[in-house]
Amino acid sequence: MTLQAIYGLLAQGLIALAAWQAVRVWRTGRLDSPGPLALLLPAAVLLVPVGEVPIAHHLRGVWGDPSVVTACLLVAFVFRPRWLPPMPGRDLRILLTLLVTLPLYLPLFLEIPMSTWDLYGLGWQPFTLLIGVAVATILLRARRSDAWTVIVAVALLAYGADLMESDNLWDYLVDPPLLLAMAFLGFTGICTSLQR
Amino acid sequence: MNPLRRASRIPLLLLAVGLAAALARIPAAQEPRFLVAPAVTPDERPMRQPLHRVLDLPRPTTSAHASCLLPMPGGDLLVGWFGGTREGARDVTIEMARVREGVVVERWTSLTRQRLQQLVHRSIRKLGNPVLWMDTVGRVHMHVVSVSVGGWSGSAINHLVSPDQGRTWSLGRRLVVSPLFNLSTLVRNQPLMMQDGSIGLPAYHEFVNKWGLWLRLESEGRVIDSVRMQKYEGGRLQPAVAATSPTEATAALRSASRHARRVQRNATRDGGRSWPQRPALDVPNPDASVSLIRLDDGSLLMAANPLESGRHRLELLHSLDAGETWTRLRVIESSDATTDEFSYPFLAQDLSGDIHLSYTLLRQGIRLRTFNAAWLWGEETP
Repeated sequence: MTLQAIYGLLAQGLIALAAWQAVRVWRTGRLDSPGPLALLLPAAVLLVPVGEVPIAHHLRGVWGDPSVVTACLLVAFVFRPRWLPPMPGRDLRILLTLLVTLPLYLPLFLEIPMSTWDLYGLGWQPFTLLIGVAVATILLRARRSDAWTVIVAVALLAYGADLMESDNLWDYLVDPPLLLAMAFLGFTGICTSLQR
Repeated sequence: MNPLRRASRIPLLLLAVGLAAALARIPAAQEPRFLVAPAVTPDERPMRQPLHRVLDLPRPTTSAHASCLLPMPGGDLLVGWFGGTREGARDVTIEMARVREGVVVERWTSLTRQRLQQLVHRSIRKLGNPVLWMDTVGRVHMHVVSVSVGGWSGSAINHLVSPDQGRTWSLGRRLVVSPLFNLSTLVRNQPLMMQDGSIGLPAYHEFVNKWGLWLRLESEGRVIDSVRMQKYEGGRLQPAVAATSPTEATAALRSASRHARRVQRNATRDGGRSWPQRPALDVPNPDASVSLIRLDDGSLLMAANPLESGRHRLELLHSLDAGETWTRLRVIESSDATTDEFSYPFLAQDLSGDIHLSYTLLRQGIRLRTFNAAWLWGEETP
């Protein structure tokens, strides 16, 4: 099995565990560490076949592999590891940084004249993108967002190690669910601010 | 130093290590230049009798479509296609045959949906369009389309490698070329070799919008660049690309537009870095795949269905000016029944100069025609 497949399959188990934890938070209002029984869930996702292949294979077929940033955020949500500094609150600048990635997806839907340049293309030989990511991360760190610095560093290390199927750096940094989640958090954050 | 301040430097150090690791991985891509063989002059070509062979390949399945060809070094021809009870069915497999001197010497099921599931560790609902090429050490590579969810617009491309000329496959890479769940990237036509050993693979996107893509892959299949072929009007897909010089190539594309039913064209003058749109060819296109190759004399040969609608006529067309203008050379198939289908042509020229054309025959099988320049320019009718 390739390194990319191991990452992809484990990520599906992590998504299942995070979903389980999210339901627990919703029902009890507090977030406890996952117990041994909860850890059976990712094991089941990875091992229990439905039809010809295990559940994790179906999930990969539906939504593919999450970005490393998303995987780190899920790890932070589920396990709250000590190596990861506390997450900042709903920092709108972080949200805006992620929302600048929106042009990645728009050309896929809009009937607009396209040149040969596209934002996603910056991720193939990503000198420029790396500079942008480094600058954005250092600027965010000025706001004491050490967690984001660590997460971006892990994503870059993963890119260097060829951890994902993609050869495009963007796919290590963002994915559509992360963008949607950030857009939702940004929207609710703005609504909360306005109510105050 | 204050331990807290020292600790706060760890994230920055980690970021620096991450940046170094990422920089080390960035592919060292060279200036893209097509590998173009010098044109053979008529004086250099040995005189040969006209050759034209027709071979219907075995039909192990009730439906067959989207054939591709790979001339082998020893003179054999490898033919691949997908077949099953119908297009998109779960029982569709990638079939292959080895043809020698107009005779099928071997046929086998090369790839099943279940085997691809094992290789890519994800569920696969259906298989489609295979494309074959051979590397410098004799391994056969296949880019094959697969769908996990939905229809063809949910496709992705898988890169497989075979050490035994298509009998068994191992995973090279699953190509990720779309940021949106890697949706909707397909292949249809053969890749071009680049001078630095990389591969130029014509592909296309067809979810919501349709456009051609030019993928540049390392010799092991990693994507090092992806360029959208410019599109101003209508949908255009399934680019077939032929290089005419180290920096120039022309792409003929199937038109999915109801308003522009002609073969569409893009061209590059910078080795594939950009593909501006050019005026559509004066060749009708009924939303059907075309095939395009550069012959050994430097001219271009295209196989297409030059009709406004239907796929009941298949012709060969020829261009002496790098794809600007085309003349109709030969009618390969023609039927009065507009529901008949002779579609998805695939052209290849082998080292001896023989030209091979495979295509879908009535959606039931694959027909292979082999001919030479003497037949192509001669008086004989097909």
